[in-house]
Amino acid sequence: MNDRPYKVFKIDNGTVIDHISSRMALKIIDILKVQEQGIISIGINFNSKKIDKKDIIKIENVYLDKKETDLIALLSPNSTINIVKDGIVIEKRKIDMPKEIEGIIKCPNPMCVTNTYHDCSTKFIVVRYDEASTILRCYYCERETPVLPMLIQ
Amino acid sequence: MDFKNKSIISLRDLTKEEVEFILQKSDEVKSDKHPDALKDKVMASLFFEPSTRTRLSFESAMISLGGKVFGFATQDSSSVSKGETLKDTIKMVTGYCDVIIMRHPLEGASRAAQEVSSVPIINCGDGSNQHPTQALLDLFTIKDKFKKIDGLNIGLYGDLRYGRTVHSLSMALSHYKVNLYFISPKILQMPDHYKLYLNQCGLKYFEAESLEEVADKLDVIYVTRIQKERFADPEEFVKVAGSYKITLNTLGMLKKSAKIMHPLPRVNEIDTSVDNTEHAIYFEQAHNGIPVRQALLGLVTGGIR
Repeated sequence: MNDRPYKVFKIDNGTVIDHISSRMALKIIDILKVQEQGIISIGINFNSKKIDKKDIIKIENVYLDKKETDLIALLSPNSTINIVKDGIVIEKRKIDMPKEIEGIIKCPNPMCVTNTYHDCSTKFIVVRYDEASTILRCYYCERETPVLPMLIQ
Repeated sequence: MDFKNKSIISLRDLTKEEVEFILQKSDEVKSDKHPDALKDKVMASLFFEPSTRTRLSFESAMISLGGKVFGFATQDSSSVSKGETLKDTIKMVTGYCDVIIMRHPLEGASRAAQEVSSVPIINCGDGSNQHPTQALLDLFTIKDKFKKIDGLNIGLYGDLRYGRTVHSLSMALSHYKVNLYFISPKILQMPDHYKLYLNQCGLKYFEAESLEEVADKLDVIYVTRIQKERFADPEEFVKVAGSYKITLNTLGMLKKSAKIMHPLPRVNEIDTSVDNTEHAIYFEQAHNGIPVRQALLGLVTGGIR
């Protein structure tokens, strides 16, 4: 039996998110809200020369824009983005930390107004970040919190 | 500087120039330079959480400069008890008034209200987050007494963890070259994110567990009440609260010129025997709530420029 060349199949059209910090792939799909858009292939815990273990996501026929892919910075700031069209990589994109995050993260403060009223969605300001963590300040209650996977709505 | 239609939500939003401008206008109001500045203006006073001082001083401030007031003093008497959202309440009230003052138990409530309001909103306390008008009247009182703020040694004493007045005040003081002394029991220390904010502003602060350690340095001691519900162990509360008290004996440790402030209500953390000494300025501080709130109401409604 021949070795399969790809563990996650090559796509001809769509968005490839590579070098994702290990085991963040499913959370990133949650952040991007692409669950119902086309076929998504996910690889978890692949060996990587760059970062030891990595995840990879390929989303067929969906071209994410920069504003969307920058959200990945919250969980995996060193990920890389390739936009593929007709089998050719037409754009290699870095991700940059967004200044504000709207509606993706839940405020951990139970007394925050966003946790009581359905017509009050969340908004955070990115205060500071490094390799290890990203710290956000709630625009409403002003509390600071690190980005934790459990806070993703 | 144009404050018309600007909401006052958090000290975080105000520059030093804006703070100074508010203090200057408060001083003018106190000297009767803006009579009738609020004539025919209508203030909605929305207290989703009860308050005595803040509500009464705002209402008095409005009426004595010619304005009118309506509103509610508890959530039970509003349609919130029928399940209306905060934003819907605000959208409705904005049609009836020129300015809204509000207190709410949820943190960030005033910010959320501002987003749907066509009239300016003044935050009178949102949970344990911000109380900007208190901080401004505290600053005004300090400046009024010392004729300056830069260079002072200011001690914040008591519950620094849950007390929103000390959070707002330390943010307001971050605009000035002051030394801050945080004096509190370990479990009620100033939260780290405020300390980080002050660090970023380049402000020096020192932490102590007893007043004795720093008493002779202080120009101002800002006392806050330690509340029983913050302690899991009632005996621990009795022990801690008993040691965080200002009495006539304490005064001997202080500079002669040192002033004692308190946002009130006071329970027993300042002995009543201290009230008649030259150190006590807490009732004067409370009275300064009127000119400062009049200045703010005038500025945001356009009656004072």
